[in-house]
Amino acid sequence: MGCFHSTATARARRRYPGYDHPMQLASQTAFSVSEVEALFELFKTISGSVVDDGLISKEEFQLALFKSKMDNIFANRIFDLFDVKKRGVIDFADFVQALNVFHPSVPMEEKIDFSFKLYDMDNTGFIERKEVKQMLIALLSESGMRLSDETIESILDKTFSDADVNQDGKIDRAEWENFVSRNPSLMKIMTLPYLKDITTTFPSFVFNSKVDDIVT
Amino acid sequence: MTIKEMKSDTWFSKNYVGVRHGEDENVSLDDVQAAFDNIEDKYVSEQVTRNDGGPLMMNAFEMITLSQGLNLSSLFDRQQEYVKRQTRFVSRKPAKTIAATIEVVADSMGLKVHSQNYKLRLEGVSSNKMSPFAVVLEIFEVAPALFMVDVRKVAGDSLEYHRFYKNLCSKLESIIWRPIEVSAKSALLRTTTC
Repeated sequence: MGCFHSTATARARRRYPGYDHPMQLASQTAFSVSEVEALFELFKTISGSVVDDGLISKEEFQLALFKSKMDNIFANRIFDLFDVKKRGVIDFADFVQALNVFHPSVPMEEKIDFSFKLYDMDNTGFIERKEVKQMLIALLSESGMRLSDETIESILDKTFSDADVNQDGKIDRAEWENFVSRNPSLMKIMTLPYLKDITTTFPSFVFNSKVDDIVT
Repeated sequence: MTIKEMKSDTWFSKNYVGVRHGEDENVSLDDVQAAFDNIEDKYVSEQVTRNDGGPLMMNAFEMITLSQGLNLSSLFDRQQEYVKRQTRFVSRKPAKTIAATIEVVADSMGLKVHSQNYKLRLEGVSSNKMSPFAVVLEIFEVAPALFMVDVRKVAGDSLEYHRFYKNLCSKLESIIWRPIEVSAKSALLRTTTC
């Protein structure tokens, strides 16, 4: 494989810490080089919306998602999963690697993995009932719907009798996989069909493709 | 020179194809169908499990996936204003009553209704008559005798959709279930939600 540490890449890394050459990222993901370049256009917009430091902060992520600053436990959880290096910011490589899971052609196994981690809010390796309750209440509040605690508990009862096969009050990885196979609509959020059209939504200009930078 | 004289001139009739009136575009039903189907459905094969012919049961996780915070497709949205997508309400009426009431109201609003298995498509035109306007309502059972109606726009302008939704809710008062306690905060919530 060629070396991608060209001067252009070095320059990009100064402005966008953690930047990796599109060819490098394309080789590690389901994206093509031009798709990674298009993602870079999107990344530039999002990462520069509050502070132009070449990194996406939690606030910038919220702005991108809701077009306004909004503290949402799900968006925050997704941000935390994107932020693999746990620095409170997402760099371009993180961004591409994370969005890769949502690509239509990535195996379902990876999507199931991500969704399990998503709902296992406290990282115990289990999705506990109290976590699901917290998430359900957040969704109801977000929707302007209010249900009694009794009703919420009965919704949880039904869900857990369905998903929690060994009835230990929590859902483990195997139970989650089983539950998802019986309720495939749960995986809808894990695929972004728009990723296949990204080059038309975010066209990058030809001179960004530095083919001559490749040192073989 | 009159129009009639112009039209009979050889210069005019060269390569002229007259406008045919009264011919409607042949709209393929597949296109209409595709426009209303959720694009994400194509990537997930849905196993429809019906509860004795009633609405689909929605479990806690299915409700959670409705969150706007889990809808990353809005990252690719180039529009700049906040689009409220949280349009849903709860009802304690029987599912058949909910569906029937929606149909009657939609009809009174001048919308065409396509209904199938507790999923309703309401079609119309925008207020300026220039573009199509369509919404999809789906009824789900979230708990015994408790139903949630999820409403989303599938065609048309966002601003128009929100006006429509407010109008729809005011007409559906009889079936919408509201929490009993009214605090100042929830009263404010109610003006912006259903």
